[in-house]
Amino acid sequence: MDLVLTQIFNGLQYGLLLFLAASGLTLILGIMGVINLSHGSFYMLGAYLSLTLTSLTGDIFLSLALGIPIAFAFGAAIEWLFIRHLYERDHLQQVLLTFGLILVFNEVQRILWGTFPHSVPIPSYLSGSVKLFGLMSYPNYRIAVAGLCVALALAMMFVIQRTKIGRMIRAGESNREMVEVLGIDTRLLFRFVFAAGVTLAAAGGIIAAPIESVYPGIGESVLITSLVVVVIGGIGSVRGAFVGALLIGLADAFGKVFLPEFATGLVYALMAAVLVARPGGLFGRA
Amino acid sequence: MKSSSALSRRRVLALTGAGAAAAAFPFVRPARAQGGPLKVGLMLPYSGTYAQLGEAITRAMELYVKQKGGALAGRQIAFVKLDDESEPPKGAENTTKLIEGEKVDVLIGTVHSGVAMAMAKIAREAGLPTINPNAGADVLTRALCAKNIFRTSFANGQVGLATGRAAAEAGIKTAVSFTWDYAAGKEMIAGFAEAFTAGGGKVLKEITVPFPSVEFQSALAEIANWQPEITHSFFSGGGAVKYIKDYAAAKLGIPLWGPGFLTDGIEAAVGSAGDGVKTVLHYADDVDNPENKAFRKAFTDAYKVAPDVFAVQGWDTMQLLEAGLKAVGGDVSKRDAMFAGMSTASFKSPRGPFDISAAHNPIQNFYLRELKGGKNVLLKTVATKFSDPGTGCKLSS
Amino acid sequence: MLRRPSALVAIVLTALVVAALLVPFVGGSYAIKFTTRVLVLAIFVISLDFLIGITGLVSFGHAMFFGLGAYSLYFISPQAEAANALVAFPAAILGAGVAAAIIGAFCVLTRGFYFIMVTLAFGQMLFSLFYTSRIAGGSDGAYINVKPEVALFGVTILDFDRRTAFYYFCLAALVLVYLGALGLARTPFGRVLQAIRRNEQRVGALGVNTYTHKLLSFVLAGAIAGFAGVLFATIDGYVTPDLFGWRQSGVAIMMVVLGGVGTLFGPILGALLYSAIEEVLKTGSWVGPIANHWSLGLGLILIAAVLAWPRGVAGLFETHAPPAPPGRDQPSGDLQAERPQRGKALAVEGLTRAFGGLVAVNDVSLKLAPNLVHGVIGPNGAGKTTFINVLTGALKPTAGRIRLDDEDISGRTPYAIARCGLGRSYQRTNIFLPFTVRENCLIAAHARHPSPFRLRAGKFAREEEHEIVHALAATGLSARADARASHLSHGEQRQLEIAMLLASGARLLILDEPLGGMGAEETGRVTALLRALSVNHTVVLIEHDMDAIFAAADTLTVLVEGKLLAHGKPEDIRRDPAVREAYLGRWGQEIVR
Repeated sequence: MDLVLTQIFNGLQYGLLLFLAASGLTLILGIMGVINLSHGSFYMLGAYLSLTLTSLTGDIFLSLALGIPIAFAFGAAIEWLFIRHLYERDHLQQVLLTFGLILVFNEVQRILWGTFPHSVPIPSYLSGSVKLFGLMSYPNYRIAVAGLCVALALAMMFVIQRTKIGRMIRAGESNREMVEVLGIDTRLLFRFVFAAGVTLAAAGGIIAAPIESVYPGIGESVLITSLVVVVIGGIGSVRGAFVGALLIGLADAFGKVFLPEFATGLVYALMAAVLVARPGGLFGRA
Repeated sequence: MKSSSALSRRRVLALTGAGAAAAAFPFVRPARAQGGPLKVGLMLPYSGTYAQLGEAITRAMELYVKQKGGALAGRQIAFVKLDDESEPPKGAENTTKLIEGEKVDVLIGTVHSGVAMAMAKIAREAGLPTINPNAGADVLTRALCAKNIFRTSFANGQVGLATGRAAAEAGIKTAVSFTWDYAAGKEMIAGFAEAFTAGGGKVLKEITVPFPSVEFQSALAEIANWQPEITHSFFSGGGAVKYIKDYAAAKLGIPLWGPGFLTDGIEAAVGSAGDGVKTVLHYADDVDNPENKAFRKAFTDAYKVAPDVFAVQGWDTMQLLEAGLKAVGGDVSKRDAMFAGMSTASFKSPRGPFDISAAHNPIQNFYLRELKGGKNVLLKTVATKFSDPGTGCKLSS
Repeated sequence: MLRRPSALVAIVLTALVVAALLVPFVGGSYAIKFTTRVLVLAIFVISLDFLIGITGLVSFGHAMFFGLGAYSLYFISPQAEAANALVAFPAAILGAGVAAAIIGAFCVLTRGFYFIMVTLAFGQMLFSLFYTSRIAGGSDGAYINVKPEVALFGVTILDFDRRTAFYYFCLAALVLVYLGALGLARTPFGRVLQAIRRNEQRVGALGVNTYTHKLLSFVLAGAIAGFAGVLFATIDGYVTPDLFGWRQSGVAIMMVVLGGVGTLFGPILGALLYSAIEEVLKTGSWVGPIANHWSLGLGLILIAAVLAWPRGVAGLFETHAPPAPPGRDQPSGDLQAERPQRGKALAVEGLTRAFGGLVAVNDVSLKLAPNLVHGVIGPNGAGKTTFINVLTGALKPTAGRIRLDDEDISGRTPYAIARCGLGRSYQRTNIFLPFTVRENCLIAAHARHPSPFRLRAGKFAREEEHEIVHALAATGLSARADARASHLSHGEQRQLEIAMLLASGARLLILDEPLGGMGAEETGRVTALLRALSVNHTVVLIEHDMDAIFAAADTLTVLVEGKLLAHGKPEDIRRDPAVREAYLGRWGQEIVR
């Protein structure tokens, strides 16, 4: 029983982190209709950013505070340079261009930070661990990260449901043309949404850096898993991304223990099952 | 209307010209000068999760050649590097590129076993001198051995056997093995299980996670559930850093053992989290012999970082190559003589005495080390002149 | 729609073939191997273009069939002997095809982005299967010890261990696959696929079971990919699970898009270009230290390619035909030339459609006699379009029955209903905009014989041609037959939609606001057309143009808030006080003249 409880905890914690990356992706896909394969690269860049910032500031949360505006500005710049040309194009060209972006980002990362794995220190005030379920100790930092993700999720829900920009986002998600006709400057809206999506992914990378090691290639698995989360949750639905991410996290944790040979396949089988039952995802529109 | 299609036609012609030129590149190769520098092809990972290993091996090789004034046995050495990205499906292609495209005289590669398998297939057919400075797939010096392929590192099973023997000799009775689910990991824990069981121990469970996943929490919980006397794990590179940190944070109270790859090269990155991890490897930083001392000093002076086992393997690759070149006076066309020279090579490596087995795998010492304060401290030598069984290899000594 | 390649393209392709023939003489053995790889990838990528560019199914898992083909060579090859290619290659193709049938049966149920994800998922599941299990060497891959050979009755004809022999075999294979794919795209089956890519809903509404067509396309593409896979395995004699992975599928998509989607020859150029760029950028002796950062160069080139060449390399070969001159002729009204046929009768009993609490169509019962024009009117939001959607199968009725002549069609799929002779037009013109007028009608005509196995125009060609000519004449579009639908005026597009229904042989036409957006002159013409049509068809139309509908209709049905308010002759409806009050009152000025 202890094992089961521990795995539930593991799965939830992993899922919450996954939610950050996936929420950005679902917004970008849902509101802007752009398939952005380079989304995982922003997660990776966030992790490397965390490396540099933490070596300067010494504290991961300070890095987060600094990293968020940097990521936002970077995201807006990328949108302005490349992404905005994709709105009128079809999915295939979006895939091709963003694939090219992956290659570019990977190489830039290599040039700037090299290929060796790095680690980012956990702040000393969180370096202890808590004895959980009598089985093993759970690092305080992981618990803090989980809490932070939940807080961010609630903040996002608030912004989307209660604020003006959130309303525009919801409107844009259901009917882009109408939104334009109503005089909302979709260019700025899209830039904001893209930058926000990038920031969410980068934030995930930043706070995950102390618990993952930072090395080239961490972006790609995040990308694929985020896509799966988005499909399960429903394109454009932040709530769906939340539920989907937790589901994947749990499936992953339990899969590794009880079905180790099929663990990776399990995640995809889950997605296929959801699509059969509800073709639009759990919270999407069919 | 006419003008626009004429313009596009011009564009098309320009494109066709460019395309033809681009497509023609593989056909045009620089001519090889006779008696010129010896082209040594390096097929190693310079990107991806094993990039650090590729770099370490390369650095050591370049340092060795530099120390010898840029030439071995009278031949100038020119390295040709190719990033194999640790991608098996491109392995055959990349090998072909070096052998036939760049027309290298000697092939050195690689780190990832899957890539090495592809490389071995082509290298065997091509027949050129090939040295493997890391990839530990057992089969490369067992059933798939070849007269022109040599290894200067280890066989996965060999390391596993040594670790299992060391653990059994330390009186440990139960263990849980945990590694990535790929050939290298599986072969190591298989070797461990064989020697450990033979020495009276019992492996309670073998847990795997897909390569190169670094989410270990679930597995750690499972290990805690089993409560073995030790955990035996194999990871390397970036994954090993994370694993050791996660393991320490979980405070399982179970000592961690593993092959040396678990800790080599990443001592600084893991910091105090790695204290107490015991590993068995064919090398240790403080192996007490003059070659090691000189090697370590030279490497640290040149690159400002301490060398690891991968660097040693690269170093010994050059020693082996030099032995072969000396046997033929620098003339690599005398292949059989060169292979004979290499098969009988015996020299002093920073790791200790180095000999080659009949299957072209190193016969070497194995050491038990413990990670303390960022350094792998040598505890004792657990095996001398330890060889890999070489089952299924048809080469006679 | 896909045509025979232009002269320029044919020249370039021929030049490439000639150059390819010369490679073994001009280049060294490395060049042969490199080009063999490009040829095999080109075959793989053509199969993907057939899926993406012809059928419109973007698969991110197509490499799984490539991998299956490759691994089948491993399974078939004996330990120390050469497999017989005459056995191994067809086995690989068959194996991949069967797998594609099973996997496709599931995947093709989804569309768009979800299709991308589901194919990705299956690809990853297969990858995971071959990677983690010990089926074929697991993650390290597997050797094929002796390369296959072509042998007949024990005599070796072609030994693929010989690089040159295999090279020419692959070259021949590529030429055959390209010509085959091109030919296939121009059969009725292929044309319907291209229409599905452009507008699947419309194709279904014409009576085609789009699922079977898409599935067949998926199977064919998978089989060809399997062929490419077994060839690939023969190049090096080594297979790894990464051949199944999403990266392999992704690179293939790159080549398709780079080359030009839907052209079939574009992917060949894409494969060549991508491989060449990667090769050049990676060769240290050519580009120096840049080779260490080759993927940066590749990425930048890909980005630039997308921004500069939206239609890929093949787009450079396109010449744009000038738009057809705006001739127009009168609708011939020559419908008497048609065999007189009876239109279908429509009967509806208690038809209801609810969306949760909102009842959009409320217990409507109606009988519409054949060979008449029946109008359906009502205020906005009365449920008229929903009513039509239920009739045509786009929505399932919550309750009630629908009968076409004596056949109960309630609850059937749109394409099944369409095959019973019911055709509909949409409020927003729903045609194939990139196709010409004639091609639009051709698709509709093909729908008369909707089997997916129509690989030859065959015996129906003349009949279909006759239908098309007749349909165009009836709607006055004969002069515009070769104009692109997107270049037509709005009114002409709506007429085209009607022409398509005629070509498809529908006998009950349901038209949703066919006069929408038309000027006075066009309205008059189309109204006359509709009356003429009723001689041989039953026409049901929703309209807001009161003048027109009162002039055109034999009966009128009034729907208000989902309920049937009145049904009868126009004069009776006009006088009905309930109708006036509910509806006509607001429009009184127009009606009471």
